[in-house]
Amino acid sequence: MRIRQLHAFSEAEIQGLSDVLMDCVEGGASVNFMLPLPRAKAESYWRGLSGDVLAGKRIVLAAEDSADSFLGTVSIVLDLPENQPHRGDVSKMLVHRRARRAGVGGQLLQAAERCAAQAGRSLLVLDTASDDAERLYQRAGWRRCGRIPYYALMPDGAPCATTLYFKLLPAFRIYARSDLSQCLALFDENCPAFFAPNERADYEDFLRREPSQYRVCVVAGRVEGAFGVFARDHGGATLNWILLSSHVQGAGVGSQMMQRAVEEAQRLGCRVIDIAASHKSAPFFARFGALKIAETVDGWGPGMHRIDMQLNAGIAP
Amino acid sequence: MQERAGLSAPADINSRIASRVRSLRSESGLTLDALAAKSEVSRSMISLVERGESSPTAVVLEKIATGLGVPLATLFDDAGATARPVSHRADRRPWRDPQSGYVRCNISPPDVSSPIRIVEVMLPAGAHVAYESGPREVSIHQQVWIQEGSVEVSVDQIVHRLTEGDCLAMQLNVPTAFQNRTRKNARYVVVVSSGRAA
Repeated sequence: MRIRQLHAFSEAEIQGLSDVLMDCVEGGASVNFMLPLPRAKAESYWRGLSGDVLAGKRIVLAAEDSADSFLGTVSIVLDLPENQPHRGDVSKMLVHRRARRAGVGGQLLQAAERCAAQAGRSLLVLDTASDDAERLYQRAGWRRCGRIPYYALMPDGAPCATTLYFKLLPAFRIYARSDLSQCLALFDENCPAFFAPNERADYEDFLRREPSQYRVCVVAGRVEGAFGVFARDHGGATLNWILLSSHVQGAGVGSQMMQRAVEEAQRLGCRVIDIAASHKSAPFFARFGALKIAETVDGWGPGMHRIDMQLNAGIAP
Repeated sequence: MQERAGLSAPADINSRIASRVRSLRSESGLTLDALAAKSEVSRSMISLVERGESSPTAVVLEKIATGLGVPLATLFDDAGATARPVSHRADRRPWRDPQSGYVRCNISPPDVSSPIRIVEVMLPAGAHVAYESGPREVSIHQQVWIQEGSVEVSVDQIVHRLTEGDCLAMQLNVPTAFQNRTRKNARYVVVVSSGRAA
């Protein structure tokens, strides 16, 4: 199975997309259509989107099997008001019933996130009326915002609630000299909550050495986080200077940074990540499975205790 | 066989690649070990490439180029030639990837300071080439313009089916792959911006 981005819809692609849409509506999916859904109506729906796809207002992805037969599809609507240039709406996430429980939805969702990121979008929003889909979105790190009752109708006419989800799509890149002031601003925002004031000079020294393994996490053009994974001689790695802006705390960005950190460690061939945390940040790392090794009272400065932790990089967080 | 006749002796093009890698590495002040770490290519392989004693694949050369912060096309520059405004078909040196069999040829006139490279690629029927490179220090923009046949280009594992006349824009900070699933050779032009300011 592979994911393909559709451009000018061919007749075969319109047929394939219509098959998937009709099967999902017949299976009870609440996706703007009522039963019965004649083929002509399904085809006309997709044909009508062809112009938006060519104009770059909408991205349509299809999951296809080795015989190029469509198993599922997802759309990202990019045509949003001028004050939301960084957002995309995920819609028409459809998997044919014959291809369910085979990871198709997960792969479509991941591809949609990568595509949206490539299109320069840093926030995705969606709503869903399906419990199965909710589990999929939660596993993929999407955050649930709430449920609206009586939002729409099921294909058979029964009232149907919808649940809203969002995911921020941070971009990670290598630290550059021009990021210095934004990184120091992140430090200031996290001081004294997570760092002691006396640590600022150390951080600035670290940044001025322009460490090639340091990464910044960018959301909608702003540096909202940073971290570095450095290989040690003994085959382990250290996670250094991980910072997260309060704007995005609790929004899943920290989890994505930790996932990146583990991937970096794996890429460096390291199985264990040493984290020199503080008593304030230790609970965050514990959520990803980091274990406390040692505690030093006032280890980072007065009132800022040092907690040494270890994270197994063999298991993805 | 006509096509092979146009290919220069491997030794010639390999020595050009060798001198290009050597000079780019010394310009960027990287040791062999540092480039090996950045490119994820072994120190011994880089050393062989720099001595012109290996016929490296496109995939290996692309990793080395990523480590050097330049696009792959830069490794095929004729740095010894004088910069001039016109390049002629007869002067070009095609290169065949020993792994996938694709043939590439720098179209741009020799001028290492130019921020743009034009490359022509012939992707044989059934051929597949996948570049693994991830984040780069400098973002490199590339556009692929299909001249003949049909090519499937995947950018970060999302496939785009391109046919004659189509043009795809992409950034080289994610894995990319080129596949010709047809029975006919395909030909495309790649326009790539160099990673560094000229």
